[in-house]
Amino acid sequence: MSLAAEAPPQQGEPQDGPRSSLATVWRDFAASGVALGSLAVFLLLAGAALLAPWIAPQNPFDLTQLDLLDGRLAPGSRSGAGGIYWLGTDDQGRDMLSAILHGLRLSLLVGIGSALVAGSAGTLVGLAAARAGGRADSALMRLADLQLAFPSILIALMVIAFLGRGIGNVLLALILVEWAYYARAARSAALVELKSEYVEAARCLVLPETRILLRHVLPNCLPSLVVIATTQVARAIALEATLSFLGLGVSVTEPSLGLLIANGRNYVLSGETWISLYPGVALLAVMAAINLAGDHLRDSLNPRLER
Amino acid sequence: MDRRTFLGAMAGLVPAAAFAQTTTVPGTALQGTASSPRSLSIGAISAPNSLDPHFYQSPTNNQTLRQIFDPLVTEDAEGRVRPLLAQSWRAVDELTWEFKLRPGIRFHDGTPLTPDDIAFTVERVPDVPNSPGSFVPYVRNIAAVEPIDATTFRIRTKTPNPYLDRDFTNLYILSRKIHTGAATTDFTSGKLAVGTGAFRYAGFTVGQQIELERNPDFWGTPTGWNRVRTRFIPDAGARVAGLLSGDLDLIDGVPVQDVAHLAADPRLAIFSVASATSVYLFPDASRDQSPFVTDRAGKPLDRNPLKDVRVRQALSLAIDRKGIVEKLLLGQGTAADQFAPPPAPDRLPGRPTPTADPARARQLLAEAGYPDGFGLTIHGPSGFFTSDVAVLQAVAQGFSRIGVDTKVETLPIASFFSRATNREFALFMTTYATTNSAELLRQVALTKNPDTGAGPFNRQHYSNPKLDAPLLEALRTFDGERRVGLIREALAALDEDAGIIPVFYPRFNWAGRKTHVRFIPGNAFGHTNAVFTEPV
Repeated sequence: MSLAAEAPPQQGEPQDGPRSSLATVWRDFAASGVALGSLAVFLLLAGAALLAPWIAPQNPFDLTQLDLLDGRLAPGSRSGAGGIYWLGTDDQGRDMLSAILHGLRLSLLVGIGSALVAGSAGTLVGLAAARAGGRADSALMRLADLQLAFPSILIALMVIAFLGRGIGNVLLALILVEWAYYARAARSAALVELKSEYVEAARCLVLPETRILLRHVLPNCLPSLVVIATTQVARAIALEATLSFLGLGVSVTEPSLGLLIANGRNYVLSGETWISLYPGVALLAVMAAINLAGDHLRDSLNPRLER
Repeated sequence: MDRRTFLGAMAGLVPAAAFAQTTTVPGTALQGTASSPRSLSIGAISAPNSLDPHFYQSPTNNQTLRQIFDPLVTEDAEGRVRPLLAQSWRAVDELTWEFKLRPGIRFHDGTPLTPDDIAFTVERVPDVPNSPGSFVPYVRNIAAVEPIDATTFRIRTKTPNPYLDRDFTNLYILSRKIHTGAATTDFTSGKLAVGTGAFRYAGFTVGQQIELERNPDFWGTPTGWNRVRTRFIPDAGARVAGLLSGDLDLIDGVPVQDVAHLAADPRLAIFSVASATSVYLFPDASRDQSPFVTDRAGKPLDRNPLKDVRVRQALSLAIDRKGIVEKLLLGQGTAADQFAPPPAPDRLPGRPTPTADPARARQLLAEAGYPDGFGLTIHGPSGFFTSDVAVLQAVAQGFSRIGVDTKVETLPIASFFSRATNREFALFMTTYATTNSAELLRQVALTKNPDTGAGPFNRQHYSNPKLDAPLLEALRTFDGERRVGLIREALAALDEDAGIIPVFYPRFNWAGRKTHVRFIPGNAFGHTNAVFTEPV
């Protein structure tokens, strides 16, 4: 951290000591097999999603590449063009493997994208509230409370109903749902930090308030925010899947995992279970991986937890 | 953040788990039945919003109320008009019809049916407030109802209407003595849900269920059921599961993918009918600029390609109707060869089913000046009819193959129809159900005219003089043969102009417990009710 050059020595910093270094956190994290395994699964899925346009056998969003006559083929079937559908096809003749890779891409884009934007916005609001105190603080936090009082899915549904469907609007809905979590956490962390001695010291140097907040307070709030972000990414992915499952998310010709599951649901009783099953497994895997990794990251970052 | 958050996030996986609940249908006990031998339990897809027979002209309300009330005449599965309360009728001249009621008909409370009740019914129809879909079009042209004797009456019309008898098939007859001043809520509460039908009201919960009991004094053959309970279950999986578990005796709206495995079940039977529904695409062929039409790069076009008949014909040729019927509907439908559905006797005879011809379609597009195609977003309702979203995607697949870069947007029914009526779409998919081609054209394709009530569902404001002239002539022609000739002329004009692009005609399926109930589809509209059932 560049903190050292700017601020006086930070003996009073709460997360002082060897734990605060990245290497220690990583050592702690890596000590757990579950943590490493889930991180590996996440990286594998994220990598596959990122490379989907190049590694997927088919572009499932390009209607000219789909053939109705290849619809609802079982996993391992041969396509009319000669390839093999390893995970079968859906009713439109869409290769499920390609659809899952591209759907995963959408899910991760939505999850990580919304977490980044909502995280930045929420953190800034939280910091500002903590610094301002008084009425501004109360107003911002009551707004956050108000929003947290409503179920996320309800807020997202209202936003989509108002703005219409589409990936951009889903992203916007998720950001509106999520910012309050970050704002709440950032505020409480910042309140603690603002009372600490290194902030006092920085103030004595008459550093500008924004600089103190962004360069000194923010970095010390980050660990908890990072942990929130990991769980919020998983939540956002689940929420997007739910919206799409309800037919309110992405376009039907560019399905995400939730929409793939919804499409396949009609065919479960008639035995074509793969249309729902594999996207469901992919969704489960990515969410479980993110949650488990985030959980262990939290433990590693927590200085008070003795194991 | 703790492990509860993790569990909470995992709860977001409901989509993945939601279908699991509908899979709890092992091939076990059908013998544990919900119904005693003389009672029937029906699971129906859609729920009526009222028991007032003149409140909402919709298949859902009509099918339910048909059990309590009767119309003068009714339509059979082949689209023929059959006697019901009226035993005979004839057109005396072009402005006068004479009906003869079946003698001895009484309402549930014993009040006899008289010709004056028909006059009352016609008077009441315009007086039903807040109707979301009025019956007024059926009575607008009636000048007077004149009783002749205890069972005979004449109806005078303002202008000649060769379809007057057909207009009465959905108009349920009420009693002046019982129903004068009756409000819609009096029916829904059951207080005045008193008709001439085979069943009496025994309980109704809006959106949940309706219960009926046998009318022992029914004027026709009394029903074999003592009690009928119809539960409204919109979710297809839940209906199928209810049938398999023995909770329900009969379900409607059997999903196409479930027809085969239910038919193979030795305890169950599938009942089906070729429906009078026509699923069609409606392109905006009238405006110079249309929303949702762009060039391939997404920039607006200076003219509307859908205005060119060659483009519309190309789009029609691009659709793989056979593939849609075989792969998406699993054979539960017929590829469309024209706009009018098969049960309409006046449709065009002997037409070949069109096959997809992408090469010819591309050629037509090139001739129209779009050798590289264009961009198009097409719209459709979701959850409106069987496989609607899947069919629209398949249509888009066909369009994309000929170079028309197509996107699909589906909307919930409520917003879809209001936006379609506001002309917000370039091309959309919807349905119309009728066994009468003249009505089909008058409602959907005839040039819109609010004064005469022409073209109420002509949402794209399509206008074709070659269709209008023969159709308007047909609508006042009493000579049957000549009328059919004129209607076919109008149908052919529409077809040639590709003003409407028909896709398929669905087949409706019911499934029931073979040892308990037999379902005989009473009409081609897919109406589900106990009148069309008999105990086994």
